[in-house]
Amino acid sequence: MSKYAPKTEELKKEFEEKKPRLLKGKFDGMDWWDIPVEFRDGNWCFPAKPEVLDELHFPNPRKWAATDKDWQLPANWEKTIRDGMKDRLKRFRSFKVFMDSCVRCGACADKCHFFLGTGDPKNMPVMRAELVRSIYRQDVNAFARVLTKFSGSRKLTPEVIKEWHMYFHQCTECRRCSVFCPMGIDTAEITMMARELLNLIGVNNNWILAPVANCNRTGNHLGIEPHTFEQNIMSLVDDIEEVTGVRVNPTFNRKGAEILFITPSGDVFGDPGVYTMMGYLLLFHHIGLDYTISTYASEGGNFGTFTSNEMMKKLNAKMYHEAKRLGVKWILGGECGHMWRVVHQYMATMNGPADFLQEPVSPITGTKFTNAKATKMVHIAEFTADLIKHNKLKLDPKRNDHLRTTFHDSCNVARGMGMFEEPRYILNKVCNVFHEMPENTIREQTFCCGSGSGLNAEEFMDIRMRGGFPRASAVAHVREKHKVDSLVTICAIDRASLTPLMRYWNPGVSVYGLHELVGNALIMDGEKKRTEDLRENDMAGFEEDDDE
Amino acid sequence: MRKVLQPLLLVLVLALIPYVGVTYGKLDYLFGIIIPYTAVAILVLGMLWRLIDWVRRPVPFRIPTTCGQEKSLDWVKTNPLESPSNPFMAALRMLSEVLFFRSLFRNTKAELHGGPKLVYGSHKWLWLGGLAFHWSLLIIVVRHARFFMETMPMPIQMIDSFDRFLDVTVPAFYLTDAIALAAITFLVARRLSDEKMRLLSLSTDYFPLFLIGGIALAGISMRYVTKVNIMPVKSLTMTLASFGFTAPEPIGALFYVHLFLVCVLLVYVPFSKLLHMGGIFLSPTRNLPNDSRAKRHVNPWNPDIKFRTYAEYEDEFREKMKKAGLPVDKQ
Amino acid sequence: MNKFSQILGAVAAGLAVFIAAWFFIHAGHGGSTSAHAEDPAVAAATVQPGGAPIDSSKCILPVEQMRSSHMQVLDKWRHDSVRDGNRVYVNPEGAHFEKSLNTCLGCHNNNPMFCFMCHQYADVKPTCWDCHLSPMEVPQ
Repeated sequence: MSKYAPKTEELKKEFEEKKPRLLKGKFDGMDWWDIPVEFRDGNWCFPAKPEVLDELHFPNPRKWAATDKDWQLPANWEKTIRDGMKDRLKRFRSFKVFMDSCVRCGACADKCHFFLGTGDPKNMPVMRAELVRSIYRQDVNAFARVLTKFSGSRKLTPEVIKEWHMYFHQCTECRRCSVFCPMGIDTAEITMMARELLNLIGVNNNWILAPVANCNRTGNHLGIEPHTFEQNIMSLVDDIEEVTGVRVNPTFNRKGAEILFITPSGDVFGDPGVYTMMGYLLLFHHIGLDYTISTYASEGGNFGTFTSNEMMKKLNAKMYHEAKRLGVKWILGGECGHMWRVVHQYMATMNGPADFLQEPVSPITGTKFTNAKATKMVHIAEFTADLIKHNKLKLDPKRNDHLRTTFHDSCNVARGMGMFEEPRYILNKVCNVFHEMPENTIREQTFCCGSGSGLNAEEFMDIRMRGGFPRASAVAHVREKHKVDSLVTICAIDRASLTPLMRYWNPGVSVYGLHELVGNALIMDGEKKRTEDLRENDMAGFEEDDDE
Repeated sequence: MRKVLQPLLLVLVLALIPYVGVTYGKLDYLFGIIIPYTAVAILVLGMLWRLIDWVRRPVPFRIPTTCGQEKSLDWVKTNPLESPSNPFMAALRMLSEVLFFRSLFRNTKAELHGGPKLVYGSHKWLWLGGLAFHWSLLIIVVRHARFFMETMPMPIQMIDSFDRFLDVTVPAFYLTDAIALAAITFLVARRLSDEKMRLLSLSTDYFPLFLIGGIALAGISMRYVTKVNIMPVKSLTMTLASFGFTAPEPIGALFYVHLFLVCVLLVYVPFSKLLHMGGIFLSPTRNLPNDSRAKRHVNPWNPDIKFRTYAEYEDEFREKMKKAGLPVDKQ
Repeated sequence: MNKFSQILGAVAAGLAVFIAAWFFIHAGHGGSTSAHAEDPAVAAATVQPGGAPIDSSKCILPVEQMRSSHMQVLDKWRHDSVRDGNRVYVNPEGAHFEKSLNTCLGCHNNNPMFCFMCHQYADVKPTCWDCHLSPMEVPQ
């Protein structure tokens, strides 16, 4: 498939040869800091283009590649890193406590999908953190400066920066290790800090920073300008009409709407995200929701999260800004992973208080979403689950009988928000065949798709297919056991990245958004006889002449 | 191997220092009075400084790791412990971490099988070993109160008699002595037996294990095997407990080995990974309720960020928006 | 099934700790007895109880040894005399003593507080007086 990934058979062979070991290679008698860092095709993302950095006013714009010997780091880069680290240690108790309290018990070691897939020892979360801790020790502990080998500390060299670049871009900030850590150390937090530091000296990733620049300018990661954004949704409206015979009518930038709906732009443009978008549109039409979509705040996702706290805030600020301008009562958010980490754990803190909005109330059921009373933003799965619970939706789950489903918990929604039940409740109401993957691979123990946190780049395919292996292995399990062929998710990056992952490891398994299945199952007023799902695939048992 | 032998050697050398000092140098006063006071002072001041240093640093964001269903709709069953919705439940969650190592209880072991596929097995040995280690150390420390008080208070007496309930050997055998030694052996062995652990362990991971092992061995030996006269020991410890400076009566050198290693441990705590005993309480992924959408968490240094406003956006795209029939604020 | 294996694992672990503890106990016991001097040949000989001359001018062992190890000597005496009927103790210098608490109290009878002063100070509660009459209870 991709020239950046080995063939599936080659990777399978690699795994067969080392089983049951997880580590790849022999390290006996070695210290981890002696293991060299090797950049090769498929294990690094292209750095940000100079014009992207210029647009963002980010430092050190230049043309370079990770395989270069000289990375053209700016003068005094060591001081920048050290001062940056001190500053962040001062501002984030989390960073400081996580630097101080690891006991290297190793509970996290085999919990990381990148370690399980690559067998690279530095992908053990504890090692990933040690990459920074070894520098941190130099600065805080006089003994560590002298007894370097004994205390595991080392000098800050360009090699260390290369190592950081490699391994903090082989972490998707999924927090799975944090679930198992007896100290609650969260590698995502450490990765966020390390990426902030790397950005200070111009060591970066184009697949993150280009979307950041786009989002800043046009409102969404894909850089879609307002008219195109509107056109694309209207073409989805046409598609909906073709399949269902019903014309839905979304509005854009409409002042006075009750609810502002924000979803990742991947749902507007990417396949199979667009089918999820069709699902939302059908749902809103079905219940007659008074909502509007903004072309300005047209991005749910926030790649600033993968850049710096300041950038996260800058991009996120648009949501409240637009909600205030349009005078809506509250905000409804679509299916997305890290978007919900930001909305749930950062948004109100960064850009609140949102006094100009009202405590969210479902206009259909009257349910107060008290859990969102400060942020005033409700997850679509919470919203839909409430509708179904109150019997406000006419659903025919048989319309999804052509799909045998399983559910992939998205890391951020699982471990950065804690929403597990609502999507399962909905899924069980809109389809008849649903099987859970093994318990160590779902809910709070869910595995990342391997491409989160801005690592969904084509040139990163080798690591992505490896990092996604634990998820793929769990899907293969239910595929064998229950003939599952549909992987349902509530994350835009999942929809984009699990698709190639399934093609690579489990051909025949398709990826769906939850609300796509809702859209399939909805019995719309005035619809024509439905024989095809939103993808225009035939439904089972609804053939043209079946009822005659 | 250097990673393991160096700390082992270090502990042996450290043990030799008081032995030589007391046996040949008659430095009882140094090892019995001066060093213990210094060590305790360093521990107390060091930990105080550490705690203040931690607490002074702000918690800008509410970032609990949610390991269970959040509080959302009324009819959705929540997991109040793993996704606490209020500070009380968050405190319970924290306590379950501190007292029972709840997160470690989840531990699994992944293995690569043919197919290829990944298989996960329950793997509670680390949890059990860790729990045994920490709890027996705590009990051992607590029952040392007999040396620092005239008589043990009732609760400590109960712990003490529970610890020796087997009632075998004279003096009565303490269960925790055996458990602590077994747990230390296990904790060292697991670092040596697994290739991942060998790679990720540092000398500073072995050192405290060996040090605590040395302390335990010296203590156990004094109690059951080589024996020391307990009277001058109690006299010294009572002096220390009352902040006295009376020179100790002669005590066996082994006692000073025990005491000196304890002093080294106390001094080591504030400057090493042993800080985790304080750090765990301050871990923002465990000690905060998951209520950030219901209650606004305040970041004391929340920066002012200039973002691209709608007006700026419309200025750039106004003509295109008008052409597409999108509403605009300014004509 | 998984739950079951977890319980099984926990039980096995508990058992392992228990067994380890027992090993330790017996090792500790052996160690403690070898720590003080006793001639096995004499212990094996059948000396009539009461036939041993009692020399009350000297303690059975040096005072330092008595201070640190008297509990183990007494424990051994109890075992030998009650279980094996062997009531004669021969110290390293060859002097014979009866294995009896009375041998001790015979000399140390001048102060009824003899045992208690130290035990109280060190907060030690020996089990001697569970069976034996305590010197504190004997009218002077």
